[in-house]
Amino acid sequence: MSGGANKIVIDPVTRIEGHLKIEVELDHGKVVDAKTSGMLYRGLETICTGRDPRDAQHIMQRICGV
Amino acid sequence: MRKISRREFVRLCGMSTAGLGLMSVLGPQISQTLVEAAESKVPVIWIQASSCTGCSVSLLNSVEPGIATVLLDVISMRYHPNVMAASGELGMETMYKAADRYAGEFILVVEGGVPTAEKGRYCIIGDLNHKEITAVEAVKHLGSRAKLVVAAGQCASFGGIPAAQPNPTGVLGVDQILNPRPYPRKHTVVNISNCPIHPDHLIGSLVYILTYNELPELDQYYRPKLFYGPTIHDTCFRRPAFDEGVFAKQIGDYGCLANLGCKGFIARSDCQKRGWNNNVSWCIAAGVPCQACSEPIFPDGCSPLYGHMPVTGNRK
Repeated sequence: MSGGANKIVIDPVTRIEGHLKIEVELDHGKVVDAKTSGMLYRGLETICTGRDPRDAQHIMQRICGV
Repeated sequence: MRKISRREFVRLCGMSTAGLGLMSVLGPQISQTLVEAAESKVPVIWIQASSCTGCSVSLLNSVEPGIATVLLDVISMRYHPNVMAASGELGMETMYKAADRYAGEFILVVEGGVPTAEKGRYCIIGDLNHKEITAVEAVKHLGSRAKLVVAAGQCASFGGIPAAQPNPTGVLGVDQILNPRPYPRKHTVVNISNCPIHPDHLIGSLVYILTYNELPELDQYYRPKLFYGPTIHDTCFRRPAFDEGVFAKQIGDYGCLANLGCKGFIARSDCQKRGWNNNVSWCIAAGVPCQACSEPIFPDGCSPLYGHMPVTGNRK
């Protein structure tokens, strides 16, 4: 809140599935930069490699339970 | 009437219960009852780590009791990322304050495995005071203050899918984080280990604990024997076909599903008795082999999921 520059960080964003972080940079009330970041990595593609192809849908369906 | 600022109002909403966020969708008129219920019910803090949210969705799908009953009559949900009103710093403050205020009283429910590689940075659950809080840090902090920790789901219990070979993010089950071997066990952890949880198992275990003020009898993997007793094989409705030697050759056939890859021989869960989705059906009734999703060896020890286990008629 000094010099007009301000950064707002919202982490976690709630009422969604998963982990999301929002960063907004303000300059005298105007948005000058905004970032969204996914805050979870599991490596499901790496996990799937080398498995029986019939297992792929069972592994990948666990990307999201919604 | 005293004027309150928007920030104060949001703080009020955040400080009451997480369930308020959901109740405004399900029934705004019962929000007041929820606020009153909040103070008298056991507080629950529900965090998600390397999860898919399937366990939370499964809980929300509970028919009897419905989610409204659970939030009003059974527990006071203090933090739940999918339904709570607060977000960001306010949300994280709410979580830490609830843990301090109800230390030794609240139940911590963890959904999802806990990644440990790169100091746990593969899962950040929030940002507080410009510091990113990793899942492993949150589990340890909250777990040490909780009365009881419930690992909701295969991933939180045993690592689950994200822990499958080659486990790129070093995912461990909650029990392995809080009670690492070879040190003596310090924290009470109850594993509800299906993928996703059966809502009856979680709600049933919580109600048992709240009613009798003690844990239900747990098996060697800390799962309640109430729900994880006999194997699927011993309770399966297709068992007479197995006993007769009638085996299904493809999905949809009558007969035992052993040759299609059923792992019911080693899986313990009461799926036959309880069914899924309010007993509409369950895997084997739908013609699909059991994948032993409740077992510690899932999925690698059960792979390939359609590959058949060795079956010996002489096995005792």
